[in-house]
Amino acid sequence: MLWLMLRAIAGNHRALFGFTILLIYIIIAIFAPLISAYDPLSTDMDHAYLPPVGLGGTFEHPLGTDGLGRDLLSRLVHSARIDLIIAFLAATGAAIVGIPAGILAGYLGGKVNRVVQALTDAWLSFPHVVFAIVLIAALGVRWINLVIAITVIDWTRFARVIRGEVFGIREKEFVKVAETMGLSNLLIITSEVIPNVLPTILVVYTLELGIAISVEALMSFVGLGVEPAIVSWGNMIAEGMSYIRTCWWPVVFPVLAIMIIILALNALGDGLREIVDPRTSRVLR
Amino acid sequence: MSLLRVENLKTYYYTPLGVVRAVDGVSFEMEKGEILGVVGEIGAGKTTLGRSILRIVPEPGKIVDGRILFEGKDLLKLSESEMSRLRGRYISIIPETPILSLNPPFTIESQIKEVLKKHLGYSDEEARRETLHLLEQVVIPDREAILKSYPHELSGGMCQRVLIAIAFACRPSLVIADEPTTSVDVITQAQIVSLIRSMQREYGSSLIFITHDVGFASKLCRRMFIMYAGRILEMAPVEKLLTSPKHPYTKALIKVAYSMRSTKPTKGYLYTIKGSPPSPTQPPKGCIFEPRCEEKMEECSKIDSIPLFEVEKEHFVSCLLYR
Amino acid sequence: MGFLAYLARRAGSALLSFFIITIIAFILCRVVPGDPALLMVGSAVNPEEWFKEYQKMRALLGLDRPIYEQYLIWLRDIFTGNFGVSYRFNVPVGPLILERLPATLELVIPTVVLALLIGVLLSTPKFFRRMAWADKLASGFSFLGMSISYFIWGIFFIIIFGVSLNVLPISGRLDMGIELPRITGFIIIDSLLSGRFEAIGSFLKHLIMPVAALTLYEITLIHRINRSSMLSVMKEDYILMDKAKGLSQFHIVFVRGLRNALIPTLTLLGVQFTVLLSGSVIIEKMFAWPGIGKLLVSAVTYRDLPLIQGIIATYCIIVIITNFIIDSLYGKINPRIKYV
Repeated sequence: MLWLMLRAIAGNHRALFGFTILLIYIIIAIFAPLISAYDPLSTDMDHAYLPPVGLGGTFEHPLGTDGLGRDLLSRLVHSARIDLIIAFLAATGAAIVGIPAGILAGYLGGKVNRVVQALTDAWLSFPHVVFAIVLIAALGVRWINLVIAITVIDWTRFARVIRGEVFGIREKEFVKVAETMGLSNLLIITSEVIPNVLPTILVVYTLELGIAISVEALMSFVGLGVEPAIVSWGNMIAEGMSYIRTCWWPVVFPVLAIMIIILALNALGDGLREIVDPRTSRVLR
Repeated sequence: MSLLRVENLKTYYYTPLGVVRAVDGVSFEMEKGEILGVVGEIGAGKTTLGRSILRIVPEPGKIVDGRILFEGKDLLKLSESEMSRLRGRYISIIPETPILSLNPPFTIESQIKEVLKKHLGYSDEEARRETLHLLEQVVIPDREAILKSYPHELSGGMCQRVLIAIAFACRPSLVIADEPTTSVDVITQAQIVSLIRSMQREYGSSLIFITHDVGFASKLCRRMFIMYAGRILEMAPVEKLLTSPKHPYTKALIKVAYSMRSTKPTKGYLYTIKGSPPSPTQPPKGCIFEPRCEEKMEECSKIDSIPLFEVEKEHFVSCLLYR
Repeated sequence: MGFLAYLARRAGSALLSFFIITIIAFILCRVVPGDPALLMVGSAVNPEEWFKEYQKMRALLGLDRPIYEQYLIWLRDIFTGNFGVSYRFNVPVGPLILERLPATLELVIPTVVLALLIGVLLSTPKFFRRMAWADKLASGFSFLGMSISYFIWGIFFIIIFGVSLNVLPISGRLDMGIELPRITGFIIIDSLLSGRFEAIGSFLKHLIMPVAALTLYEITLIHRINRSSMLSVMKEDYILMDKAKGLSQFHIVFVRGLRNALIPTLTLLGVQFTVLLSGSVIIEKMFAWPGIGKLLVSAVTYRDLPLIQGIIATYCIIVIITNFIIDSLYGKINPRIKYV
């Protein structure tokens, strides 16, 4: 299954592009201490605002330094760690809550479905950033609370999509056959329903990773995300914006880092959708 | 000069699965005031033929070759804006799917009036009066109420009547009725056919009547032709075609029609044609009907694009038996 | 039945969404930030006295009543505008929010209008043969734009136009030194009323970047949904029939097609509007735009509970009003809705 998925990704340009970049980011995050020559937190006021290479900087600080003289490359690669951890934890959390809700609502219908639908509708009708700000206000500014907030807010994304998908599958012949054969609901869900929604789950999960990274940046920017003591892309942007009139590179590099990974995740998601969707994949082959 | 003359028309759909030759070298001619029947199975290319004449073949379809001479002008050479002045004015169409063919968020009134305003330059008042008159012609009761209603509030039969009114509104020279009876029930079918017939007489338009039902065609038309997999297999006046069909496919088709229509109890016996229509993307070599033909000869699978041979006056057959 | 039944149905669904939204808002208000009574009691000498004091405070705040009663009281407070007194500013919360609300609407309303117009317009070149290049361009932009949120647009704009080129102001609503009497709180209206036309120019200069950041992001979403819904509408039989009637392609796309395609787009707009409100919070903070989003962030930073509650309630009311507007538009555009 995994091997098949990887082969399918290799066959789709968008997916391959997205997957490669995600992989590069993961490797960078894992080996961050080896890549960066400096401690991302150590300040050096003698070397503040050094420009990156190409703008008069030296290879000592390839991307330059920030207002406190901290090496931007080191900060950038270390940020990848916390951002990816938040992204994977939050997406996993949202999936763990949302997938069962979606499957049960779609498969059982009736009351369960009505409750899940009312909840997802309500979640949709309240601004998520306001929601997140208030949750963080309640929980406190810590990165793990950000993970919790994203989980609480975004589980509906999984639930909504999966519920729709399961509705469709429920009407399919093989489920009807399994039902007439007298298989239990649990058995049908695990043997027929889950394998069929797995590809969709993968697509939503991929997109959710991007959303979580984006939320980290937003929330840290308003000072309600990752605690300032930890270096993250959002915190780099927040700090950089305070002296944006003096120099711009401390902001631009984390913004680019976020843009590229989100672009890659969207491409991967789109690619996966193309691979999964029988209508488009038939066209492709 | 004939009203419409189609020469070697080819319309292909370029689908991801391959090229579908929906209309593949069709030629025919019709006179002013004539009713011409086009008969064929689903997928024979009848609808595409009708749409090709109006140049409204939907994507990914394309008219790739041929000429369509309408009152001497080649329609395929006209610009898009010249063509749109002609559509609905001189050539119009009655569609197969009445319920789906009226634009949902617009009232019936506006959908009839706009043709009159656009093509005949009527004022709003004149258009309204003419619209009411047209609705009377197509036998719609409670006309004022119908004008204000939206398509989804009407039955299929009602929608079809409205569409007939639109088709005849500008007294066109040619009306293409594309299986107008397929999606309405049997009693309405007969009403619709006789309505089209009387409108045609009243307004003096010529009519191309597309159907899969030999019976309907024979009651309405003077001449008809049989289409199969994008080609014309046989063309003749109705009586000749019914009494002495020449092409093996026509013979089979008429046999099927009789065995379906006969009221004699035949103890479950229905005549059928063996096999199924050819794959649209990979038609067989040689005669298109050869794989299912009961009278096939050796050279049938070898000679491509068999022309129409005239066996009698006005009776053409595309079959090597009549070379 | 007909119209009355439709009204009843719409009122019913509006009521349901109203309850759900207010319940969420209520719950959110109750979770932040911890126990308000605890915060207000302060310290006392001995625990027993402290506890008495604490109980008194809970009773005063109504926290000892059953939860549904608390909800009803909370609802009543919202509708009478009685949110309490801000801890930080020491003024009633209602007027404080009303003072900031126009600034938020000044961002949100132009964004909705512009994004809808441009997004819908960009989804039409697909249906004109000669405009294929424009469709390719729009779709390419849309794909890239999907990955660039208002947040990133905002930062880029600040760096490029605000700092490097230094042509646009990066904070506030008006240049320093321009004094405008406050009449409605909307700068354009106020400057027209008071005859200070120089304020309009200054205001628009301040408005460009925040609105552009929000709009560019919204456009990509509206473009994507409207284009795909146009694609399926243009395949319908009625469009073919409209063509057969001799209507021009322009008329078919912009009147006959769009009217149908807008139905799903409008549904999306309802959902999208809350995304836009989210965006306005961040953008207000980024451009120091004195709206309720910026107010919320500072209220949270100062743990100003009454103010937080008031702002949550305000967002809740905005969402409900928008839903109602979109619902009415929906009924106008889609005749079928009346009888469903």
